[in-house]
Amino acid sequence: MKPFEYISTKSINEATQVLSEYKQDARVLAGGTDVLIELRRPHAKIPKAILDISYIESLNGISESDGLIILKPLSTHTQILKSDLVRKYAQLLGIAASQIGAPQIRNRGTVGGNVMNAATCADTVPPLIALDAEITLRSNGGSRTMKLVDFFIKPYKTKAESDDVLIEITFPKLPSNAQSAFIKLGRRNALSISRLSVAAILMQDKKGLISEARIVPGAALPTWMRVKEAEEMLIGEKPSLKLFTAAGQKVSEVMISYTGRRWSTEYKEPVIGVLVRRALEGCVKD
Amino acid sequence: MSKEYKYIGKGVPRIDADLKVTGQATYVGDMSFPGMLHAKMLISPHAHAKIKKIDTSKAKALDGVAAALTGEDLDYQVGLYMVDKTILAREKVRYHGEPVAAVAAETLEIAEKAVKLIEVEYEELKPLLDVEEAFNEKANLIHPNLGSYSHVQTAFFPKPGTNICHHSKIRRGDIDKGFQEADVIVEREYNNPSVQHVPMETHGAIVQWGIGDRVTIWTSAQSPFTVRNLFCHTFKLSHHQVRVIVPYVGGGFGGKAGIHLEPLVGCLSRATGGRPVKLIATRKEEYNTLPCRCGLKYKIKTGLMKDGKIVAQKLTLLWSAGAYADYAVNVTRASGYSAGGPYFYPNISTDSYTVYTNMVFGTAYRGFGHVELFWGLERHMDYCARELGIDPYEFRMKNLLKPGDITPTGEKLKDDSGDIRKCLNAAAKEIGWDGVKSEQQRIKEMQSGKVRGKGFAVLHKAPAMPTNTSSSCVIKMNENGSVILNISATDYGNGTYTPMAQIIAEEMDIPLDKIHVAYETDTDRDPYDWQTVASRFAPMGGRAVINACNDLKRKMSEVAAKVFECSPDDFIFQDEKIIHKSDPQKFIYYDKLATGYVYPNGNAIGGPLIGVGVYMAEGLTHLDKETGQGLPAFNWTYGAHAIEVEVDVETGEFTILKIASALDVGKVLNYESLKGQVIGGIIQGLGTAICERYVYDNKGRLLNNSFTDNKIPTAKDIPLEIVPIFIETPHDEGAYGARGAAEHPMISVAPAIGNALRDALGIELTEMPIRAEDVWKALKEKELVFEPATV
Repeated sequence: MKPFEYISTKSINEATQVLSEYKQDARVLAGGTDVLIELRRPHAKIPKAILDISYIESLNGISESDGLIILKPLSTHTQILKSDLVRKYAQLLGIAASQIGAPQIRNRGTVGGNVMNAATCADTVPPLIALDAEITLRSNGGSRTMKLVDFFIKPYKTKAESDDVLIEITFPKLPSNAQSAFIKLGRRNALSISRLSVAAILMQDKKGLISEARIVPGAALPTWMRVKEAEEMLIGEKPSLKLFTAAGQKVSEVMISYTGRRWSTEYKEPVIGVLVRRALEGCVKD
Repeated sequence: MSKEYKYIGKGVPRIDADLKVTGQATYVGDMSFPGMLHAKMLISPHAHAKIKKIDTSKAKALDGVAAALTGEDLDYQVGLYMVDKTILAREKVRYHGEPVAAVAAETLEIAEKAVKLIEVEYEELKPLLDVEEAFNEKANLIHPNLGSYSHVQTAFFPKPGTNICHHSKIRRGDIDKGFQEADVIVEREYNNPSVQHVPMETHGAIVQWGIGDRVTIWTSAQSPFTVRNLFCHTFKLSHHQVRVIVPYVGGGFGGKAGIHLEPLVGCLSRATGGRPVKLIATRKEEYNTLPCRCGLKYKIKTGLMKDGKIVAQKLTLLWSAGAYADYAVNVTRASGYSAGGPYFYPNISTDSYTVYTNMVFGTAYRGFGHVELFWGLERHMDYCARELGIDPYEFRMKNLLKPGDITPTGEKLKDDSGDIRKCLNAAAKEIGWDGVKSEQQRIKEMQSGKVRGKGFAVLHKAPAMPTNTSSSCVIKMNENGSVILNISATDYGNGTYTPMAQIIAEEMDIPLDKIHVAYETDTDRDPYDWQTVASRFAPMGGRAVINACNDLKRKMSEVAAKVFECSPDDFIFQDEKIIHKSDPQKFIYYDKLATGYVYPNGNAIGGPLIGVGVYMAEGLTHLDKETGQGLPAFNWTYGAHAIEVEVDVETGEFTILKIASALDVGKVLNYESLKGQVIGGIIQGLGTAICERYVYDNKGRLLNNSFTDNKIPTAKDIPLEIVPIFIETPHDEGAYGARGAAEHPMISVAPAIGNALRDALGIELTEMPIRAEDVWKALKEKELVFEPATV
């Protein structure tokens, strides 16, 4: 491995300063569950500097304010899955965090890292998009906020500039009439990257009709998005198996329209539909 | 009634547990020596290619590089049974991952940098990646010099001019007549890919090739004496010049039997004028460069009578050895003579071939061919039963071996051979087997989206070993009456040193905390043992330890007889005392004898107490080349697994609700250790059943040489309930009647799952591994569709 500069900082300002200096020659280190492994790859591009932001205390923690959940990017998957706020207002995010990797990875890996690395199989991203999350990036030039769904260009490629630091993720608390679910299909029961996943949120009105629906598949589409075609089918309807099955089939159709057919399609095409149906079923329990 | 023991059979905790969990046990990777260098290999990027040019000058010029070697520098032939390999590839490479050059440098970083500076020019050749294609007599030759390779001629029969490096035959009865008599003939094909052993500790060695060709090897290996023997053979050294030390070992599963990295590291040390050189394989090298388990494609043709009796069985096994024969030829031989499984056949014909292919070469792996063989065999037996409309349990019971039956190699089974019927009965009972599921029942259960199924599979295996396989040991008594056992069969994670301590405690009546089994084995210090393989350590090594205890007791009796002026036969051994049988007032504490007995007047007799024990299997024979007749087996261990699965019919995912595993172990020596072996074996068997396999591209490059892409089960994939059951039909030769049971828990896990899935869904799977999508696909092809009912 080539030598590189290691820079550790406790302030956001210093971090953006360093990044503005090194630009694309620096790599930000949070939990290290992706960066440290990539550095050891045979043909890894070794940056000139590794900027360790893990000691910046103001980037850590989960809190609430004015109906919003504020998720700081250094929050680990373990912190998320143990958070009462997440359990109460964003259950699907806690479920997703609890299924990432193994305890060691969940103890190190951060939600910010998951978002910024932008791997297709990032398990916290579909729930965050379903939660309508916004992110705030800061660089030397100032801060900007955008919808998380607009942040991704393609796998491992985002709209972040080389001197941007992710400083905050926020999303509205789910109201009491909402239920949510997250389902993942891996090759084994732990330490398994998602082959497919589904994040879903349903809200019902007093009559029991669906007033809002959000469906975000993971590892299925070129980038993450809500499948509006399927969501619209649900609005104003009463939950039923037939309805949910149809929504699942719609998601499957949309997936195929983007990815085309490959060797794994025969299996994934019906199974994504099943996962969507089951996730929606999980949103109308009790 | 079996004898009551004080220590044998008890769940004594492992004597190495505290050192291992605290990290104080020392492995090769932990060791370093003054002046030690670090080595790195350059591996072939091609599966089959000529080496046209290789240039190490830039690597040698790098600061900190002490030596750089290529195949041209090393004109040695190595090999276990078939001497077909060089230390580094010469002239051509035969698999992706084969080492072509190596560097020793002051640091690992420099060595890694140096190998990248080695320039190799290859001319790619067409790789042979399909065992059937390679088996064809017209195929290109991977080893054109096969005819000139030296090999063990009593056991292995290569076919020069082909890629077949061994052909084992079994002929018994009249196979043609058998098929003529048969009411029904069933013929099917089965397939297994290669998999990795995945020991927690990868292969590693430190070698110092010292002055006067005195060589010291520290290595993570299963069998120090075999490493020494093969090393001496390769370099034409006398055995007294080479010392092999095996410290704690983090698992082997057969992958560390024989010899692997030691000759290369030895050559690097020699090239540096005798500095110690260390090479620890990376996980990628463990997958790609070090050996795996062989692949197997096979056909089974069975002649059946309507009443369920098997009258003829023809098996054709094509073993894909990969680039070198290593253990594959012996896996072929052992699976050949075991190929029928624990069934009786009036007529049987088996052809088992080892075929060179351009893939990572195969070696011994827990089960030694039987995991692969039993996948097809036990799927096949279920299929045969269903073809006849007979319950697969009843079908097996009709055909399983019993005392008096003759095996395919002509061995007449005795009362002490073990009881396969008891095993199957116990396992099937444990899961509540009550007959096959009807299609009607299946369709009914489909409506819930989850279908359960039950299945079982039997197994057997004997140790595959030379006819003169032996163990020996030395027990030394210390000044305070405690003892040290020196034995060079290794405890590389198998846990066998604990029952060895129990044997001494039992025989000598010494408390366990006064018994030390020396973990770091050393060929300079310890007496000979062939290899720690084949589930043979406990039954055979255990006999050597019993014999050493007897030797020690005989020596103690001789001294005590002089002291009390009586016969040496007059004593018993109890509570660390040698006691006169009829006059218990006459006794001597062990510590008073340990270094010689001293009379009150100062006169001394006896001397330091050392017990020596040897044990060798007797009566085994080579197998006839044409018919395979002979006695290959020290003992057979029989067993059966029974499984209940639940399948998610929409995704094909399945959960193993319960697995019961019944083995006729002869005698349980340590209940906890054995239970651990069973649980570990089942999980390892589960891995190869449900997720593990080597995947190559069409150029023969291994695509999944990492834990990310080549998955093994995790703690969360373990079956919900595992029930080990031990049947104890004592074996006359094994220690206390014990048989080996280390490999057996892994065998037949896969077909039991396959049979349970068959029961659940009516699907017939013939290829391992069984992944969720395979189940889903088979179900889809069967056109059974699930209609979800309610939210």
